[in-house]
Amino acid sequence: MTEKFIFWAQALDNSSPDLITVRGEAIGADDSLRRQKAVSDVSHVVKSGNRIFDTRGVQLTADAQNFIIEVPSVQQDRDGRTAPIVCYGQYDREIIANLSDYVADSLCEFVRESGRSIKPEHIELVHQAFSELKKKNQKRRIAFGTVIGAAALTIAILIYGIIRLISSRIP
Amino acid sequence: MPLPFIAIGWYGALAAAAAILAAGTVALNWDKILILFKGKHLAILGARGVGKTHLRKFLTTGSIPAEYKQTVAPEKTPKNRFQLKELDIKIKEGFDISGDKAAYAEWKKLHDKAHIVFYLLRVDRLIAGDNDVETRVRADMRHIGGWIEEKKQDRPELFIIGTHCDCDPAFVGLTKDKIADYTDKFRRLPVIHEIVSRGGGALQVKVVIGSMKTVVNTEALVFQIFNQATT
Repeated sequence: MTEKFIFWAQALDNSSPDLITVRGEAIGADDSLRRQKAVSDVSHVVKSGNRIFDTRGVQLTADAQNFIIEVPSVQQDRDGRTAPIVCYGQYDREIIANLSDYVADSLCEFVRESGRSIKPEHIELVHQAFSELKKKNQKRRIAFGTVIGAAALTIAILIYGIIRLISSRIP
Repeated sequence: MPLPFIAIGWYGALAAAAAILAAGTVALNWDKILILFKGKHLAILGARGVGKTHLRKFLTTGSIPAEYKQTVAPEKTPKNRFQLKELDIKIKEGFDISGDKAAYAEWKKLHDKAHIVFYLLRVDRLIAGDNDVETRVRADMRHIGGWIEEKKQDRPELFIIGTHCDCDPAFVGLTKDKIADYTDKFRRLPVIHEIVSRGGGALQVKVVIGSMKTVVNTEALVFQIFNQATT
């Protein structure tokens, strides 16, 4: 399931390398290029996107095609800080319907493999977050369709007007 | 957003700053500070757990985080006003980013856009001779030094900011006159010599140390940064 996503978690000891998996493959600390690419993909969504959902530590940020969701793990780091897990993925009209299930299942798999855990209430919030994304996405599509429709209607009226004008001048 | 200063906080900050500076009064040139910081892009860099989020939050809201969490995905920090006594500076929008080495490419983007760079490190660990922290600090400054070299004429102001002094038992309870000795001891560490050199030398790089355990301590550290900025 994790093959669809990038997962990123900071080490709890704050000195070991962060745990990064890209489409199911753990990226070792010596593979700096792929690690930096994964971090850049995540960062790009923060820079270009908007915060869609932010409740009790579960944060969903998305742009038009990509999302990142941050979920707190039960464990804290050596300094007593909350240790979140970040999941990055892409979405489109087809997969958004089942996205929250995919993400929730993949998160559970990742935390199990990395020896961490997530509270059930946070998994529930993951589902709520993607419901919010789905709603926003539908609204955006309706708004986009309205703009395109209005533009098409304007062009049609203009063309009709031009044809009328030309035909009225032809004797 | 104005800093939530109350009288006790203000005088507490002054007292702490004065103690750390080992001086009777703190006379800052607010005009010079304003020129140096106004409308500038600020990059706050450093390894994990050094206090990047804490300092950025203080500079953008005047408060310190109520709860702490690791910064994994970057956090956008909105533009804001930083007000401190006569000083009123617009802080531009920025990003709080991860301290892992995997974020170096993001560090560089922040650095290249910045007029001022704060590089944070843990004083307590370096004083204790933690090899892992020394290695990490050297690796970070190899990168930052290289980026500064690339910018040459347009090089940012670099501040090396030592944090977590309060975690060193030798620092806690020091009297005013002994704090200066502690600071000298820190500056004489070979790793500090090396990274100051990589940053362009003692004339270019400002070194400040302190604690950010409380709002008062953080204010004192920021006072020191401003003091160094104008000397």
